[in-house]
This record gives sequence, structure tokens and C-alpha cells, in this order.
Amino acid sequence: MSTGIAMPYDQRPKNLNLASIRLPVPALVSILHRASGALIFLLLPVLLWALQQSTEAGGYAGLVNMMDSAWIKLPLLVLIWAFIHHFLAGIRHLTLDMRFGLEIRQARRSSKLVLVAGLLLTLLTGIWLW
Amino acid sequence: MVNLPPRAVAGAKHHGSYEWLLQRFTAAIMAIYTLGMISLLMIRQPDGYSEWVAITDNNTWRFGTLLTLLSLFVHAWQGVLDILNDYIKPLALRKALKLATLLALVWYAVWSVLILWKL
Amino acid sequence: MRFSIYRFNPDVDLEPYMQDYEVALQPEDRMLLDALLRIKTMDDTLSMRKSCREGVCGSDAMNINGKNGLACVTKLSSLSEPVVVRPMPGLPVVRDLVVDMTQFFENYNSVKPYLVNHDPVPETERLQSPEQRAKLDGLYECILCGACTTSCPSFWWNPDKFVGPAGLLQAYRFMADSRDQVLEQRLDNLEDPFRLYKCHNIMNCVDVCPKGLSPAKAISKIKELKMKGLKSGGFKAPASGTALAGKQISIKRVP
Ligand code: HEM
Repeated sequence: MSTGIAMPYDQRPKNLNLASIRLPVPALVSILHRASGALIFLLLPVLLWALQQSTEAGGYAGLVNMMDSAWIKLPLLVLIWAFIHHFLAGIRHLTLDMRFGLEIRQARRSSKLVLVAGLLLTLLTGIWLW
Repeated sequence: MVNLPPRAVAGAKHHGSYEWLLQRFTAAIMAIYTLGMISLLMIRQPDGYSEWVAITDNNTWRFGTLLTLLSLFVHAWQGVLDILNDYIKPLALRKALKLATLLALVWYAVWSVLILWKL
Repeated sequence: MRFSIYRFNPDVDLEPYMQDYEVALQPEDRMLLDALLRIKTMDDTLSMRKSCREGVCGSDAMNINGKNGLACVTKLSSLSEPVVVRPMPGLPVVRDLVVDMTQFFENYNSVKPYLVNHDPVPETERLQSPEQRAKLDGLYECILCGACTTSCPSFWWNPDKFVGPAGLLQAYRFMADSRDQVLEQRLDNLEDPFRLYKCHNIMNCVDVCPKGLSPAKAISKIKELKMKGLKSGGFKAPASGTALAGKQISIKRVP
């Protein structure tokens, strides 16, 4: 039944149910670029603290010890992934800015490459560290 | 005839191009440092404190690292602003978070100098 | 064929909801729009926009199985069931699949999408060489359906501040036109942290454009012109109140 009073436009719903909207791989790489940047930003104090520790013999040994703990390994791997992904996606971003790979097919391919290479390099770094 | 106004007056506050360029410039510095540091670690394969000191206890490393860290803080400032502008809609909260971010980054910059020169 | 369609009637519904339909298609029903009109014969409360029904007018853009596109040129055989049909994201819903495009057109309007040339009007047309004309290919074909802009996350979060891919494509279309005389002002018009620079190369716009255009390329060309401007004298943000500052023409909603 009509009330005869139209709902004001600024109170209307918007279709922004993100789960219903397709996320192409380039968009996934982009949102992960943002998420990884935010994560590194939030962990900056921890990173600076670690740098500080490493400048002294006792602190350095402490860090090396910590690296053996499984509780540190997992978050550290996430951080390493965040940096590698942000780095690779950032380089891709810069090449797009220089107008390379702007064709959609190339952009799709490079985004897949960034995603896979990020995970692979994280794995390799993990193997190299432990 | 359509009449467009003359080129806008100088001194208007809000730019976009400089910030955009700065974001890319700082990214490039960090990327170069990252690649350099990875190569250094690959070549020297430091294993233990004394070898780590051998890499880091010189002014070339200190200034390079400081330059990179300062770039990082400028980069993070632009990046976090971008994120806050998108997702935090209440004005007071957004301003508060921006201020907190700025203060944190300034503190990190001071702290970086303290760390690198062991002050 | 099964469909799940976004329904919202502001006069009776407090919230939008999804409604399922099972439709017996006829042999002549080949495009999604045909199916939607078939559904409308069963349930005439279902609302949508449509006009030319052949991909020229840009009226029936909607979100189809998660991807923006024109219902009239989307083949039913290409869709997996149930076909989920929702209005374009990020714009207020007028009713069902009909969205309020005011913001979209305001943003379009804000880039002054017309030629500005101060020379005396010539007797004949202002001619272009074939090379000059070729620069407009890939730009002039836009039908303003809104599929790109409403697929862009940067537009979702800042619809009133970021011009969006469709508007920026048009901004570049006039920057690239040999007959236009206000390139610098057009560049200044986009000088703030949002209007142009909220674009983060996500490229959803290129992904969905039913005309196969690339707003991403146009945007990066604008950024290139911006950087050239930096070398020769810097950037200025237009002072508010001047005709090229921000958006100043407000489009009246038709009640
Ligand atoms: C290795 C070097 C790095 C490179 C090459 C790089 C590259 C980039 C680029 C090109 C952008 C611009 C993206 C855009 O305009 O959408 C960006 C954004 C950003 N970066 Fe970095 N970056 C690096 C390191 C870092 C670090 C260490 C941080 C940690 C604080 C960081 C945090 C951010 C944030 C928060 C953004 C904003 C993301 C967004 O707006 O979506 N970046 N980065």
C-alpha cells in the first residue's frame, strides 16, 4: 500500500552488499595492497623496536631466540607476506602509472603474477629463515 | 560563447598532484633500498651479531636507512590519509585519527634517529 | 530459468529483499532484458529502466551475477543460474533495479563535457585532420550507462568527491580534442586529492564497460598531462566559486 510520501533520496538504500559484487583479480590485488600497507603501518612500532634490539648483542640474541617460537613465526610470516605483496603490487602500480601494461588482459595477467609471486616468495623466505 | 574563468588563483590549499608524486617518489626510494638490502644480505649471509654489526655500523648504512625510513613515514602518511578518507565518515573521528597518525609518524622519525645513532 | 531479483519499493518496504522467479522462457527470449520483461508480464510491479534494447541508449545497466552490464546485450546463455540481478552498486535505489543517477550526472557535468573554443564561430565546421580525429576514438563512444562508475570502489566511498571513471573519460575526451582551448583549466579542474587522484588503478571500470572502452587509460593520460604541467609551472587548485571549480551546476531531480 502506498503511503504517498516518497522516501527522501538520501535515506534510500544503496546496493553495496560487497559479497554480491564480483571481485576481479586486479581488484583483489588492489585491496590486498591497501590491507598490507595498513598492516605494516600498524606494526611499525614493533619493527622499529626490533631494529633497536638488533643494535645490541643481548637484544640481537633475544630476537634470534624469539624467531624459534611458533607464536612468532606465524605472525612474522604474515608480515613478510604483507611486505612482499605490497612491494610487488606497488611495483605493478608504478608500471601502470608509467602506462605499461594498461591493456586489461595484461593487467589481469600481471595481477595474477603479483598474487602468486607474493605467496611463493613468502614461502621461500620462510624456508630461508628457518 | 562560453566564458571560462582565468586560471585559478594561486595559493589555493588543496592539491593532489604533489601528494601523488610524493607517494611514488617515496615508493621508489623504498623499493631501491629493499632491493639493495636483499642483495647485501644475500651476499654477506650474516650469521650472528658481529656480522650484523659489520653491515650496519657505518654511516653509509645509517644515512641510507634513515632516508628510507623518512620516506616510509611520508609514504605511510599519504597512504593512511587515503584509507581514512575512504572509510571513516564521522568528521571528528577522522580528524582525530589523522592527528594520531601524524603524531605517531613524527615520533617514529625521532625514534629512528635515536635508534640508528644509538642515542 | 531461475532468477533472484533485488526488490525495493520505498512506499511499502522498509528494507530491500531478494525475490526468486522461475520463468518459462520463449524461443525469442535471448537477452537478459527479454527475460526481465517476460517476468514483468507475470509480476508487473517489477521496475527497471530500458529504452533502445540494443546497447545504444545506456538505460538498462544493472548488476548481473555480480558484474555490471547492460541487460539488453547480456546473453541469457552466458549466465549461470540462478541469475542474480541487482541495481548498480553505490547509488540510491529509486525502486527495484532503478537507481537515482543524479550524483553520476553531477560528476559528469562537473568536468564541463563540451568543447570550449573562444575563436569567432566559423562559417563552416571546425575541421580536424584524420590524426586529430583519431585521438577521440575510444573516448567519444561512451553511452553514460554508469556501469563503470558504479563498479568503482573509489566512487562507492566518495561519490560526491571522486569524479569517477565515466566523468574522467569525458574529461580526457575534451582534453584530447584539437578544437578545445582550455586544457590547462581542465587540468586545474581536477586538482585536488579526490577528483582525479582517488583512482587507484583497480580497473573494474575496464572490466565492465559494455562498449569496451578504457577509462583507466584515459585517467592515466590525464595524470601524464598533469606531470607535464608540473614541469612547466606547477598546479593550481581552482578557487571555489569559479566556474571550473568542483561541481557547481546542480541538476534538479525530476519529482
Ligand atoms: C617497498 C616499498 C613500497 C612500495 C614500492 C610501495 C608502493 C606503493 C604505491 C605505488 C602506493 C600507491 C597506491 C595507490 O595510489 O593506490 C602505495 C600506497 C600505500 N602504501 Fe606503499 N609501498 C611500499 C612500502 C610501504 C610501506 C613499508 C608501508 C607501511 C606503512 C606502505 C603503506 C602504504 C599505504 C598505507 C598505502 C595506501 C594504500 C591505499 O591507498 O590503498 N607502503 N604504496
